[in-house]
Amino acid sequence: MGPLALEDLIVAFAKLPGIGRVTAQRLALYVLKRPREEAELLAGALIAAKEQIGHCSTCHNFMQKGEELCEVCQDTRRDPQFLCVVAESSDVLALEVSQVHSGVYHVLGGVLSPQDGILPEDLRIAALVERVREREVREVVLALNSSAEGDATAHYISQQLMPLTKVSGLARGLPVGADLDLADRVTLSHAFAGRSSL
Amino acid sequence: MPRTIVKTRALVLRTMRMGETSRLVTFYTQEYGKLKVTAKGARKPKSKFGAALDLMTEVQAVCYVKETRDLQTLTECTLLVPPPDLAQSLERLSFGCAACELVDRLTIEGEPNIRLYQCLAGVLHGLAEVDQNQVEPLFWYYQLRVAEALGYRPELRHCISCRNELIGLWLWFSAALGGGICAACGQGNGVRIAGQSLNFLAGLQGLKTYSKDALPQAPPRRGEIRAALRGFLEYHGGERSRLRSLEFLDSLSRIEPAATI
Repeated sequence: MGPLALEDLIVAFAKLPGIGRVTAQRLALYVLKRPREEAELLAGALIAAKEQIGHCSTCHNFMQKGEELCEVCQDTRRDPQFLCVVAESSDVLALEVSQVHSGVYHVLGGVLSPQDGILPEDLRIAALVERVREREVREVVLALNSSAEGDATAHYISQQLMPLTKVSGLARGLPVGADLDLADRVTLSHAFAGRSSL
Repeated sequence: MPRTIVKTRALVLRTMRMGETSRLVTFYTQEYGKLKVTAKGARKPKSKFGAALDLMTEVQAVCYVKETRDLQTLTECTLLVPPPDLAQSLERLSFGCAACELVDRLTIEGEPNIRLYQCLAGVLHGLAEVDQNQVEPLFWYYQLRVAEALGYRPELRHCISCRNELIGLWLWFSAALGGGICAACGQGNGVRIAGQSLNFLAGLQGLKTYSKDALPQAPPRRGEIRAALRGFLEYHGGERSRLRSLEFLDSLSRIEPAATI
């Protein structure tokens, strides 16, 4: 048993996702070895993140507290009638890095999941429908993971939105750079079904 | 089996995110029963596992197994039967998830049961092809088959007390005693159930296949059949056999009109 403060630090690290007791101990010992300023920087960043980051009232993505909207929703160059629906804020980050979407986002907060008990009312689906209706959105792109639960969520949302606007989903199939002969039949069947004219 | 490479046919019961790019997958395998594995890098777009680790998929899995570990390592996974296309209906998806969850909850690792494996494969195949009015009877048939495969088949033709044939407008069903009870013996034993409902279950129990042609349409008194089967499995499987997917379905029915699910 080490000092109480060290044990507290290990327990705190171990609460993070994907970090077990051994990794938590390694991280705690690393922090102790580094200069005090680095620890203060880490502690300050953690507190600042909790204090200064909130959720955009329109798209529910992360934003700086004190602002009315997030950076994407504030940007007048973006098309507010072209909406991309994602499950988590991390998906927004990925799409923003790739710079493929010129419109705005809507973060659902997860996908429908019978096994985890995540119901439509647990997601921001009602807010999405309201937003599409109010803002007269031209097209909604459902950028959800390709899985049984992601597909079911996409289908459920498309049913709600179909009378209001055009709804599309992301293309599926072979990843760029992958070999055709190594692809499984589900991936190949999606790729074939979604073939396009050249 | 201190350390070995195993190759087996398996159904994907559950997957969870793990770390940055991996998945924790629970398989029900033909030869080794339930098996929990880590599929490293499975969430990367160019993962070698491809679409093989989606829920309800049937695969050929190759795992590196070490007896002292709870979590084994998946090294190869080839897709054999794609998951049933249930995305169009949350009700069917929920029953598919419930079928997987039931096996996950009622089994322990390392105990193979080929009949249970066949039950799960059968119901998953059936869910995609049956008519809307056969979906719940298909799941009830699956529950009866699972109970049988695990060794607690309910008696639905004869009274478990006096052994007379179960006939009558109203009968009784007792999870603790293991089946139906006639009106004369049943007072206060278990729950009251319509004779028509118990006969319906007895008919289901006699089926040999999960096919659309064999399954009957849902009867009028669905609620009591649903409750009787859930109660029966929960009694034998304990708290663990309460299925979230069925609770999800119950909640969904409360908030959505039946036509949209």
